[in-house]
Amino acid sequence: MFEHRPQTDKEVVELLSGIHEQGILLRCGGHASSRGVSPGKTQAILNLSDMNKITRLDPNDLTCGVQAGVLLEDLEEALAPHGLAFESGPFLGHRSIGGILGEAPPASRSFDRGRLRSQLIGILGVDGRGRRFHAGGQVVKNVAGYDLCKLFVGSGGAYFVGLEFQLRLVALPARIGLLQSEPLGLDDGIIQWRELRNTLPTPRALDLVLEGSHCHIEVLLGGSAAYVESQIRHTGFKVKLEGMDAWKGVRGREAIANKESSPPNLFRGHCPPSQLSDWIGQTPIHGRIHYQGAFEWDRLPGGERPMGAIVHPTQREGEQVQGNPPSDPGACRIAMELKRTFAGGLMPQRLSFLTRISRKGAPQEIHP
Amino acid sequence: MSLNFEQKVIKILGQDRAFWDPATKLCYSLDGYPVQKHTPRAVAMPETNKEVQALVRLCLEEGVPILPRGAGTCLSGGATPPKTPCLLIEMARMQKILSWSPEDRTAIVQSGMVNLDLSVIVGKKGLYYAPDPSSQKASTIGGNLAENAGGPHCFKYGMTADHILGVRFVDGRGEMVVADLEDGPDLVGLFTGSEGTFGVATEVKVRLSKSPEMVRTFLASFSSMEAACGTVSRIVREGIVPAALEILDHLTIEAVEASVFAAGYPKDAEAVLLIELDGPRDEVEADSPKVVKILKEEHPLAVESTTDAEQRQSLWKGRKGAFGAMGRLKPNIFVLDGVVPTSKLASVLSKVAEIGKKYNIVLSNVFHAGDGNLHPNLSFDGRDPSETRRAMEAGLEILELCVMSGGSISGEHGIGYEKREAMRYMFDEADLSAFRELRRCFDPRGVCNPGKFFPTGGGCKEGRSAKSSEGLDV
Ligand SMILES: Cc1cc2nc3c(=O)[nH]c(=O)nc-3n(C[C@H](O)[C@H](O)[C@H](O)COP(=O)(O)OP(=O)(O)OC[C@H]3O[C@@H](n4cnc5c(N)ncnc54)[C@H](O)[C@@H]3O)c2cc1C
Ligand SMILES: Cc1cc2nc3c(=O)[nH]c(=O)nc-3n(C[C@H](O)[C@H](O)[C@H](O)COP(=O)(O)OP(=O)(O)OC[C@H]3O[C@@H](n4cnc5c(N)ncnc54)[C@H](O)[C@@H]3O)c2cc1C
Repeated sequence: MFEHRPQTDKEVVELLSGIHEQGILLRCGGHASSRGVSPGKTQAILNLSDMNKITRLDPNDLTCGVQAGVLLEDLEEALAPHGLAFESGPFLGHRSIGGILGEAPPASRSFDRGRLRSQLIGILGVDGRGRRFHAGGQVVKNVAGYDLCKLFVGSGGAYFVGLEFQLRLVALPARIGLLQSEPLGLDDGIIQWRELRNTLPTPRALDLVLEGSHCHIEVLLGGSAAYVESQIRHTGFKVKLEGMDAWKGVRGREAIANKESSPPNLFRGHCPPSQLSDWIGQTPIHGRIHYQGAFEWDRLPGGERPMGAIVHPTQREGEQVQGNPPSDPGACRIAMELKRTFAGGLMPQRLSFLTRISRKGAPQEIHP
Repeated sequence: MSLNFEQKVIKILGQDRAFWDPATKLCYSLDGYPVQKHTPRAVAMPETNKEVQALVRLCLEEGVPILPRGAGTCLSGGATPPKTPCLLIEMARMQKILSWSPEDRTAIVQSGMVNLDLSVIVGKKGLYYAPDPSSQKASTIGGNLAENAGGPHCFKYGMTADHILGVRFVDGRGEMVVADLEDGPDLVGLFTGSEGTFGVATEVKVRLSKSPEMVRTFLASFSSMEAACGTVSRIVREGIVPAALEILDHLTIEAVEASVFAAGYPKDAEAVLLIELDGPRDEVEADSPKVVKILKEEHPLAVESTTDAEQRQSLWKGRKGAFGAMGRLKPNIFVLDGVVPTSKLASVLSKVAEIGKKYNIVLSNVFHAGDGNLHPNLSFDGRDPSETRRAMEAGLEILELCVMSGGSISGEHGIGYEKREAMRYMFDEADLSAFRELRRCFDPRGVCNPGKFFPTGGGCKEGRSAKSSEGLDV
């Protein structure tokens, strides 16, 4: 096992093309974990920790450029004096930007544009055959070229290595508050969460936190002091955290559940909010449901899977698809094509953790 | 007896949904990009997913290119048939909403559904579909998806890509694919903005948004474009996120005020700025004084503001009718779509004006200022080859300027025919070859909307003259 720590793009290109020619399997990662990355079947590790410069910061345009090894905590420190932040999904400070974008699980702030996939506006990548390319750009609105940024986010690095990222930033709201309800019974919790989904205008996050037989609701608010104040009154919840602590607070709990970089015992997926009652109550679940229905169950009793969830098979048509294999055969074939085209010897760390709900829930309203 | 291509299309669709008469083909020979025009081989109007798939498979067998088409409002030639006569797949007969859930705030629609129709239907439950290209009364969800359309309100709410949850499409192999945002690699994100080169979308799962509690629209007029742009930069920098920040320049104001879209914009102003705040009442009420303060400091000629729906509409009337009004300036208009960092808006616009002068072209600006998305409009007479050529050349020079300023050649209208040579301003051969390889994963034989998107070879300069000698068939 050999760990490569390149300092320049050129070294990465040479490394990846060499490795492809020799048929060696390589994994990128281990940037922020004290335990390093688990090598799995790979023979080499690519660690980009030395490529850790913030290459550009344009506070007036709310964008910046970072090399893949920059840690979120360092980026946050550079942004703080400008009153700016990076919407980093469920990740806490001691993570590399490459790792965060590479993993990109669904997050609390999947509300509107809070998703990680909307934050990456440009990328410099090198594919598993050592071919270097750009996609996107440095401006927040841009449709020129195919959107390879989307292929990177959440891929676990299955198709190419990201060397430099152009990011969209957000100006921190004047007041930020994390509110928490009292403990609630499951049925009450679901009713209240649904009601808040309909009545709370634009919360940054609205999570139903399940703790076995009971639950509570967490609301992240950001905006003018008057707006936050009025929403506190509306919910009747207590303010648990304020300011940057609140901003990071919702993430914090998730990150704890995920511990370090080994794949956590965590099921992630999506449940249409209308089917929630149907779904919860089958098993005492510990986990969290976000505004749009993205969920993660972090502790399942006895390692059981929630009923109705399918963990995607990783084998399809006799070939292993790295990253998240989709369940639709047509989509799966394209995913494999993408892998054949770009991946070379790249092996991402994770296989699939996504679950999907197969239960037929409440009937949808059909328009004639 | 073996059937010819046209007979095979009839076999799939029946007589009344397949056309190859010259009059129909002429109607489909171009989109909103007035410079290039080719007639398709035939026009097909499928009604089901299976029919779309059968048509794509037929084209693959016969080696006929495919052009998916929504409403044909594309401004970059993306919906103009390719030079090799194609089968144009018109999606107008697939415009149903298949299902929607007010609680989950999602809808599954056929791709030919008109954007605004969706908002009208779901509006009954206080919801709407956020992406709002100014063409939303006509353009389709499928066309918006293929172009990753934006619109005045995408500054706050994001582009089409931020509102698409899934797509069912027939790819370039003739296979049916269901891409779901929650499932596997982000094929939804890749398909969005692929301009019809990855296949034909038949169904789209979209996210619906809650209608805002309150909306306040400001109209401010300025004696200089710098002041209007400076106001925009300050609003963005201070973390206020208006739903829309739109600027019209003097020439546009004149054209609008002389037209049926007259909105009472002050004719002596060099620029008017529309600012729309929306969201929770408390938020709008808290942000309004901040906006007023910034406005005052930039010394506008006049400011008015309203929350009344009818009055707001009249403030917007001029902006929405701006492109129509420009017909007063010259018979043809070429709408550019470059993007620059917002902090550089004013300086780039003054250089844009110089380029207009250099090429002696009537140039006006109406644009999405919040995200730096410029729409310099080059008015010309397509019957005059020299003026047309100058407009094209000025257009490319402006796009080059946008890229040199750290921006992009397209914010929302796509590449199509119009900007394929300008792709080289942003991307080198390695980038383009990554794009080509990506495309092959969806369309290995390159049958879907060929001839667009990728530069034709040679540099921009060669492309420029090739285009001007070959494509001037208006
Ligand atoms: C399925 C899963 C979900 C997780 N969810 C969370 C969470 O919600 N919150 C949280 O705080 N932690 C989470 N973790 C832990 C996670 O490992 C780290 O938080 C995160 O990846 C960043 O740490 P790192 O910088 O060390 O990343 P690494 O361990 O270095 O990389 C993580 C992944 O991203 C890929 N990658 C990293 N950099 C690049 C690059 N430049 N180019 C291409 N690919 C790259 C790697 O191949 C690897 O698959 C999760 C881990 C897994 C496996
Ligand atoms: C007055 C006016 C104002 C405009 N304002 C805006 C604006 O504010 N913002 C903006 O972004 N754009 C704007 N546009 C441009 C245009 O309306 C958009 O690009 C729109 O998304 C095109 O939709 P359409 O249905 O007309 O598609 P078409 O023009 O028919 O097609 C556009 C492209 O999409 C492909 N396509 C269409 N349907 C499908 C499908 N089902 N599957 C796969 N590919 C498909 C076509 O092949 C073509 O490449 C404006 C245009 C006009 C004329």
